[in-house]
Amino acid sequence: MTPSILYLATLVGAIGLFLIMRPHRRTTRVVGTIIGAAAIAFLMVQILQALADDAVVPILEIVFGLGAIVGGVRMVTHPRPVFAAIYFVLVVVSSAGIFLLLGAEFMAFSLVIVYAGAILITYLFVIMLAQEATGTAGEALYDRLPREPIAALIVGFVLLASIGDALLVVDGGIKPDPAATPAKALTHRWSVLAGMPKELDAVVAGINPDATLVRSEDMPTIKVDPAGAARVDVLIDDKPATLELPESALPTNSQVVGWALVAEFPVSLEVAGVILLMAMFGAVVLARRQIDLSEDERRVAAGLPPLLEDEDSEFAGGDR
Amino acid sequence: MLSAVSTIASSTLVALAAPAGGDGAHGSPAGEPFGFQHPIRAAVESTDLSLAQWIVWLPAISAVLCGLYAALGVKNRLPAWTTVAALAGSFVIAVLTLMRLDPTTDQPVVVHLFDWIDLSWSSDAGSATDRWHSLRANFALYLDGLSAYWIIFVTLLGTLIAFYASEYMDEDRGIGYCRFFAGVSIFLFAMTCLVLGENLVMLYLGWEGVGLASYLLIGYYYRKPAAVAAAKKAFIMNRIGDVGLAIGIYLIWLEYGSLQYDVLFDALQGGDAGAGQYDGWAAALIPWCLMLGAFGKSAQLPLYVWLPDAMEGPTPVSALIHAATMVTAGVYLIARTMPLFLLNQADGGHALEVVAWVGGLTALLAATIGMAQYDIKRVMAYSTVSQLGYMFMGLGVLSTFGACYHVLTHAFFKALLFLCCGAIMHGFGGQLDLRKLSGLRRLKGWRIVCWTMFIGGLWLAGFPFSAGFFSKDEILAQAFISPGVGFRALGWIGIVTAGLTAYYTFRVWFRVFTGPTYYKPEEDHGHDDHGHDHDGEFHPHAPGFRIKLVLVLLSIGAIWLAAGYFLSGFWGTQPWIKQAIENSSAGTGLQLFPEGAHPTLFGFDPHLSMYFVSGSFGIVGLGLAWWFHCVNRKSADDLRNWMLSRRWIGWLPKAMERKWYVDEIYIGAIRFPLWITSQALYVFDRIFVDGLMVNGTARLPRFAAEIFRPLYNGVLQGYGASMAGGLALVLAWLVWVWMRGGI
Amino acid sequence: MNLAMPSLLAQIPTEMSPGTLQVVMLTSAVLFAVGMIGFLTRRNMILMFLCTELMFQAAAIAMIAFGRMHLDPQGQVFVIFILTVAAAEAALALGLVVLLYRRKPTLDAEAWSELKEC
Repeated sequence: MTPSILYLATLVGAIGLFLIMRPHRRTTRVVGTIIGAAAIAFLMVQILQALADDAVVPILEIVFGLGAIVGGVRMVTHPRPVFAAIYFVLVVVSSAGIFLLLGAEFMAFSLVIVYAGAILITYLFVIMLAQEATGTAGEALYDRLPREPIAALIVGFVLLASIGDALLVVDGGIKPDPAATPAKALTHRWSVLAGMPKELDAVVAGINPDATLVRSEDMPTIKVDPAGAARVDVLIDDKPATLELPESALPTNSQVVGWALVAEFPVSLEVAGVILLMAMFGAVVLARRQIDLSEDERRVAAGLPPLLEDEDSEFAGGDR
Repeated sequence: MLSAVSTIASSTLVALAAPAGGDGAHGSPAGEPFGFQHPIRAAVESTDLSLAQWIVWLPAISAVLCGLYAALGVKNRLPAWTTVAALAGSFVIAVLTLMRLDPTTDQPVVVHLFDWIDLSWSSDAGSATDRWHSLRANFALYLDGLSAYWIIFVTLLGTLIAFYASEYMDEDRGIGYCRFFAGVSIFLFAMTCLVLGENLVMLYLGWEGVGLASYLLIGYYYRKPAAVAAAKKAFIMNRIGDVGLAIGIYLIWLEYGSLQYDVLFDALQGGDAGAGQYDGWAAALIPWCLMLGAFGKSAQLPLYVWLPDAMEGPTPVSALIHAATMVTAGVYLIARTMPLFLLNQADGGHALEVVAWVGGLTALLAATIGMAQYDIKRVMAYSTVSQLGYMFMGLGVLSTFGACYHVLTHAFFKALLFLCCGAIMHGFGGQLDLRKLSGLRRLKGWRIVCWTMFIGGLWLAGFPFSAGFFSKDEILAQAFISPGVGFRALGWIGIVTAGLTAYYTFRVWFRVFTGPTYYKPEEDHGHDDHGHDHDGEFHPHAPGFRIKLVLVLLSIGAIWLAAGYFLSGFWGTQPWIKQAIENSSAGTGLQLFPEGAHPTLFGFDPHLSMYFVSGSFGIVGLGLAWWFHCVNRKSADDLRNWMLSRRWIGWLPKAMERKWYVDEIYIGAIRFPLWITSQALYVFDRIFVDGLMVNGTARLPRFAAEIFRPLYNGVLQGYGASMAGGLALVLAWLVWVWMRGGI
Repeated sequence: MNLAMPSLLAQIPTEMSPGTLQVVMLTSAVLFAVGMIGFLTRRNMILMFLCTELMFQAAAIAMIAFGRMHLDPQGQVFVIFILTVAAAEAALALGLVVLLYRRKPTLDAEAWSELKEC
């Protein structure tokens, strides 16, 4: 892919998004959708064309990706906040699919649970609360009119062009790490199992109830050969022997992530916990805070001119 | 006769030129017409005369006490009595000091009080060349004939006038009274520092101190705009002169390495070969700088205009500071540094001749102005300027004795005249216009004022056998003897001026004291608390006992000064004064020609013929005044009207009344261009400096802010756009430059 | 072209195909840009926060893809932290929105511009 193609596609996408953003005209929105979709499709095709002939076509990734993008675009452009929130659910679900495709099934499900299940519900609550209070059950004007769309589009798509350039154009696009071989990954995964002694004992017992695991100080407990086969030294009836561990004994993705969390990032985990605690405190403090509006402030809020000129007057209310 | 003058002048110039290329030592061998015929003896440091320090300290203590009284809110006459006592003490000590000095020798005594400025960066302190690496100006007194003589009349007049002021200032009792006497005490302290100081720095200290006191006392009636303006004018005019004096003192230090009179005179007499290290240009410049200072302080020609205006101050101040003592400080300065002027003369310079001519012209100019003024105090002020001109003339024609003697006599009779004017002003509600006062002689209680003023007038007019007559003749005769450019013409100017002096003095006296009795108070005088009856008619009040006593005492002093000319021994004045002056640094040791061999006037020794010449001029002036202002009072106005009606002469009385337009010329030639320049600079300042540079620089960020201000619109999305835009640009830059290696 | 479907729950780590990586990264970049544009163009405060969630989402996808690319679980670990921050942000932001909403009965962010330069 050459930069000019990328930039052209980005420009076309920007035009499409601009058209989608305009309120009131259904036709223009349709045209914009077509133009935007064409731009995305063009970019996808460009990516696929650059692949080797026998390469696997990431159909599901494309499908989920397009779903996420469509959800995002609708969320950004939809005039009704509730629908925007629901389109965000589409984004979350699509990204969960992508996560699944990328072998991060734990993250995929937690994403759906946390985001779609908790955060989004909160948003929906607040949106509905606000709409109930304002009485704008339908589309508020400020939700329909985009704010300075051209400037925002320029900024956003310059950003997109830069990121896309860095990811897809420079050095022929981003490539998987050649050093990250499956064997290396396997070794790492087996070491995770070795870090869980009871699990390993259970695995060994599952293979041969008579075998007793032999641990040494200076050698890895689980030896992995280049082919990926994992062996452990055991004693069967006090005679040394070697057991080959089956693939099913390999730690799952969730186990590996959990291991990484507690073994490699314990402090970050703690900090994350503190952040959540503080957020909870903050939310409680903010929610408990009483807003005393003075008579004048209520008048101003109601669109009437204030009765008192002096803001420091004893009749003025405000936060206390 | 003219050829004779020029012959004398040229021969003198030849004689002057001779020692200039001499052996390097400035002292000339005896017989040469200029130079140091008598050596100035080195001073001895003595503690015997340490009593003399109280001459300086007593007025200082009095000033502090007066300030204290003001703070304590004293309402009685305590400040006056404190000042009078302090000054009287100073006077007594001055007399004792003079009596303990040996007048027959010329042995100066230095009384060291305390170290003031004593810097030395010499590696060999105390050696002969030490003074080139030191700056010494200690608080010490230099007592010789000149300073002792000077301090006696300063303290005596200070005492008498303070006594007079104790009655004169009665209406201001309270804080103003304290302020007045504190000012007088400060003045006396500064004046004693000036006169007795052992070095030029102390002289400068006193010089500025008397200037300050003068400023404070001229502006005593600080609610009166004219007084404030006069005070400022005096101060600024004096500043011009003081710059000259300061530069002169710096140059003396550069050129001769010391500011102490003793060391300086030693160096001038060739005591140190290191003198003149600047090849003499500084030495040639020094007299001119000192001269400028003296002209400023003593109200001489370019800088005299402040003195008449200074009469806005209370009359005792006019009498003490602006007639008798402070304004003679310039004379003292030149008399004290006379050796420098003599050196200049010996090297072919013309400083002394300029001094003489400036003095003579000032005398004439001020006398002509004085003839046409109506304000009697102002007449006296111009007469002071005129008499000071005589003194400078005397210094210039090398009659330092004449000049210093005239200072003394003038101090007495001018103080007397001023105090009489003050008594009149005091009694007639501030009235000073001689057209509105007449025949006061016949008023009850004014006789003493009348006759003491008559004595003062005679003395000022140089009436034969008065003290002014002798002292003036000393100067005028010397003008005919000393060689110098046009000194003979200068002598005649002086003689004519003497006639004018007699005229205007007695114009005042005849107008005020003779003729039909008539008086009118000043319209806007502020003394409403007295003098008026219930019917609104004005009644003058005669001066009280203290004023009369002072007038009588001053008259007695003036008479004694005249009589002392004929007496010898203790009561005789002239011999010991002459000795004191001639033996001090003011002495010229002048004995130009053997007695009788010098130039003559009408075939006689000028000292002799001058008695008749100037005496007759004085009598003629007096007679004219008698005719115009006593016998035939209307004729003065008739003469004036006749002159005004004639085109060829009409400008003269007008110009004289308008003081020869000197103030106007100064305004036009100096103040107006300065005003124009200042306006131009003001506009430049406002437009360029303030407008463009200062405010422009300040506005630059403002203009820049106007451009960027819309970015800070307070809307969240706006800030977000800025942030994201910046991020996008940085990212684009990274992609293009860092990842792709250049655009 | 190989249109074989991958096994979704493969336990054995395999090498990643560049196509997958690029498509996912493109998705991530587009989502991020769209989220940014949404943040700048929406006026509703709640939706603006929702757009930031969209950008978090894009970042999370990129993290997962990078983790997969390096066959390293750290990418997923970071997504957990992103989730943490997103949750905290949602709690606080929504609390703030409610608080602001009590003072002025509008959700328009432009109503809150007291910090503007005159």
